[in-house]
Amino acid sequence: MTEPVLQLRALTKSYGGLIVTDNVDLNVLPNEVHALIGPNGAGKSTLIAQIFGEITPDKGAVLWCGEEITRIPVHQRVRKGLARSFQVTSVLPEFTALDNVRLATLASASSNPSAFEVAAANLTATERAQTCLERVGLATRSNARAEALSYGERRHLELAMALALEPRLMLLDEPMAGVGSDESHSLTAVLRDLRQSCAILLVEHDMDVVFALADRVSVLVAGRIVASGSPAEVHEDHEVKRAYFGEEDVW
Amino acid sequence: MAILVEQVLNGINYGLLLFLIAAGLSLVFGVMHLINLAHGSLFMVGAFAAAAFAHITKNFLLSVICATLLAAAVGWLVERVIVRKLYARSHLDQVLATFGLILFANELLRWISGGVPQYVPSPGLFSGTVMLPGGIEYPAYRMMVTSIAAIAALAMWMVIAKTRAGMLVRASASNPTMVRHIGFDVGLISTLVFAVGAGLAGLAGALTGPLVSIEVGMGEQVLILSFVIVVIGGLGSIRGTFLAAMMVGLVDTLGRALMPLALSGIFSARAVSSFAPALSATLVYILMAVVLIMRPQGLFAR
Amino acid sequence: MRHLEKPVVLDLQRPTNVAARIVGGVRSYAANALLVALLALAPFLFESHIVGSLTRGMIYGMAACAVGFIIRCGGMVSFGHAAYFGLGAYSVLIAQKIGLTEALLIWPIAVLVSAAASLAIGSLSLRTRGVSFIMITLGFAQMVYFVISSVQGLGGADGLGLQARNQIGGVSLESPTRFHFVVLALLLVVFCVLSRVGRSPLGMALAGIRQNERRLKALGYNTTRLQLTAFVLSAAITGLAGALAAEFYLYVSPGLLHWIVSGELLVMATLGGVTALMGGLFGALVLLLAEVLISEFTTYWRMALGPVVIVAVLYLRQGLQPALQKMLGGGRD
Ligand SMILES: Nc1ncnc2c1ncn2[C@@H]1O[C@H](COP(=O)(O)OP(=O)(O)OP(=O)(O)O)[C@@H](O)[C@H]1O
Ligand SMILES: [Mg+2]
Repeated sequence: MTEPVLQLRALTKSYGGLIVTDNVDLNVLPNEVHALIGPNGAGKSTLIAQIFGEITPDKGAVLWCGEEITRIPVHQRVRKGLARSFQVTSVLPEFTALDNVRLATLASASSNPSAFEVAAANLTATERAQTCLERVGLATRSNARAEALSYGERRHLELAMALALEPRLMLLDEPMAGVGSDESHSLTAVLRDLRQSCAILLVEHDMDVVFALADRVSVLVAGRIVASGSPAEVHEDHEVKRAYFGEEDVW
Repeated sequence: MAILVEQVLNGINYGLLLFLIAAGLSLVFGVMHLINLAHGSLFMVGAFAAAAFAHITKNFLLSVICATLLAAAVGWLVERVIVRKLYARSHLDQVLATFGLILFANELLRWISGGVPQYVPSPGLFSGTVMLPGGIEYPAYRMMVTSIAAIAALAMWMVIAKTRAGMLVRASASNPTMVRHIGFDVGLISTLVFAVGAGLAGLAGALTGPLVSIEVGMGEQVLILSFVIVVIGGLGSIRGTFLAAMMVGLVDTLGRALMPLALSGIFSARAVSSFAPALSATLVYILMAVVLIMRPQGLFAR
Repeated sequence: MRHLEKPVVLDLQRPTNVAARIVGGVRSYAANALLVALLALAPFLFESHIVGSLTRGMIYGMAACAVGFIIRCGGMVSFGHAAYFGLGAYSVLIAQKIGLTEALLIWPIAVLVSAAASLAIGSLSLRTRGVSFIMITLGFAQMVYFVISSVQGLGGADGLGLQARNQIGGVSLESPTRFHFVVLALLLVVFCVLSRVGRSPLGMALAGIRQNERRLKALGYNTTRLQLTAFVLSAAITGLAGALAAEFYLYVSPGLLHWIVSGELLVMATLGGVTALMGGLFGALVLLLAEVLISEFTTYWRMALGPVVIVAVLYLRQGLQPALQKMLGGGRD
């Protein structure tokens, strides 16, 4: 049996009286797309932030290929092969699309950015950045400033930046949030391509996307995992329907 | 022993005065997210105004009240004309513009006062000392300042914690859009908060006047200490600001009084007289450094 | 604490069209080149007191460019650079007290002293961001002010004079013209360093941190360490400027450490424009020019300066250097 890249053990986090992560156990296998679904406010983003190291859990452990990383800083996790995208688009508005991605390729090239070479002269980094833009279909927009890109293009750029880090696991927090159906199709295609390269923990509200991509689905409600299994199993789960969707069946 | 008690009382006195200033800073930051360097200038305005009013009215209490109201009015005006344009700006812009205000205020008062320090005698009624339990004599004026500052601090806390107006202020800090939607004028609330903060700083200045020499630049000294207090206490937390103000007041006062005594056991008198002032001046900042190492978000951050 | 993270928004207008960019690139140096030429020719054109003002302007401009650099690259608003300016100056005083006279030895010492102080202060201050960072840098600088001004051996609150200007490899710097050129040369070196660092991967990451630190962390950058690097570099340059100020005035006093110097450096940096490499120099020269002009009429020249600063902040959002550049028809540099 293959060892999971990521394992969560009894992860717990609360804000005051509100338990946002409640004893969560979860794992992601190499080259698997593991979807995490749940209603608004279930604690999905908070969970992603704990895996990534932006928020420290109160209890429990995060394991990376069996090694505990619960308390190491974000930048070290990225070095180990974690990358994330944000629910609220997070790009560098003043930089061109290419520079946004180049920042990622430069980071993965060396852990200590040089102060005296000229960034633009690093051809390997530039080429790799260009390749990543091509993979998400933004090659023609590489010289546009990020703030001039359309919303959908920025969502693509966000994925290109994660991709440029050549991660072993990507944490994608609602990559389709707020995009129209055309963009949504092209993003799905990009994700399908990404899964060739790495494992993905995918938070997503759009069930079509989840069913098209996921190997496994876990359902988070009020901080707790209430169901986990293949998409078909989760679909059938009565518990899930009640907790997540209320009594009426919305599927 | 007597000296220790006296210095502790002085420390509390200083801490309360610093709280009056830092509280305004903290409130303005909490509600409007504004960093206001010119807050110390309002303290200075209060001190100068009280001196002038005392000269005219010959009545101490009246002059303190007038000075407080004047500082609040200046705050009101400055908020309406300049400061409100800064709420939506970066902190850099806020720092620069309020720095410009300091330059202007300092120079204006230097011009008005002719650049000479002013001295105000403590009011006749309070010029003596009071006897504390345990046979310790303590200046009556300081005692009164401590009481007034404590009452003002308590009143402010009551207003914020218990009244409808205070609730509105807290609500506009956490959710201005919501406050607007339920039909309140957020702009007016901002002006009021700013003016009240200015009034508190002015009150502190008016009360401090008889204890020190009143001169241009006195505001920045307390401004910087207030910043230290706000950082130690945790930005936006009034309770934290209060506790940090008391800590800073005590550490600073006791440090200045006791450091030479403590050092004289170890070093020669000459060495002590040259090192003690430097060392005691750093105590407050060392406190800040320790807090930053242990809890960078401040001791009582929410 | 979301509201702490109000990023510094810079108005960078870069033409995206390639041809426009090349033309703009050539022209964008026009304002800078004109200014440097003016400074180089000044000793031949102007009376000595004007040259002196320009030398002083370059010294403060050097420090202001360092202050602007960490705003542009790193998003750090430091209200405590007077500490490094003053420490640089006091290093010169102390060096002279122990008998050194060689500038090539003393100035590097001044740079190292300021860098060391900024390493300590910076690593504490960078445990916070935003407003707290501003307040803490101001606090620690004030501590330095108090400590130094209470040391009687260094002249206490009054300060002390230097015996004479130090020498470079035995060559005297007493001549104001020669000193002017030395300062100009050092200023150009500083610009080369800052420009190079600005275009390096480090500089790019630092500019990214200003725009969105969380994103830079997520790309694997140890943002705090990069910011500390920039902070120390900036303080080192400011220390050099401080050493030059000591040589210029031939007098060192706590006035150089005063918090108002920190504020003035920030004003110079932003008045000139923090987006521009040489913005601080423009700001410093304009401010000193204003000081000279206004103090012709009144000793209360700061009373006019205050409103000028306020109006500039409220209505002149870009700074002078970029505005000038636009007038000359170029893009940004
Ligand atoms: N810093 C915080 N302090 C207090 N409560 C918080 C904090 N951060 C998140 N919460 C609360 O934790 C809960 C989970 O938030 P989270 O953003 O993780 O939900 P989510 O599942 O990502 O929701 P959505 O689908 O809307 O993105 C919410 O109720 C939120 O209000
Ligand atoms: Mg979410």
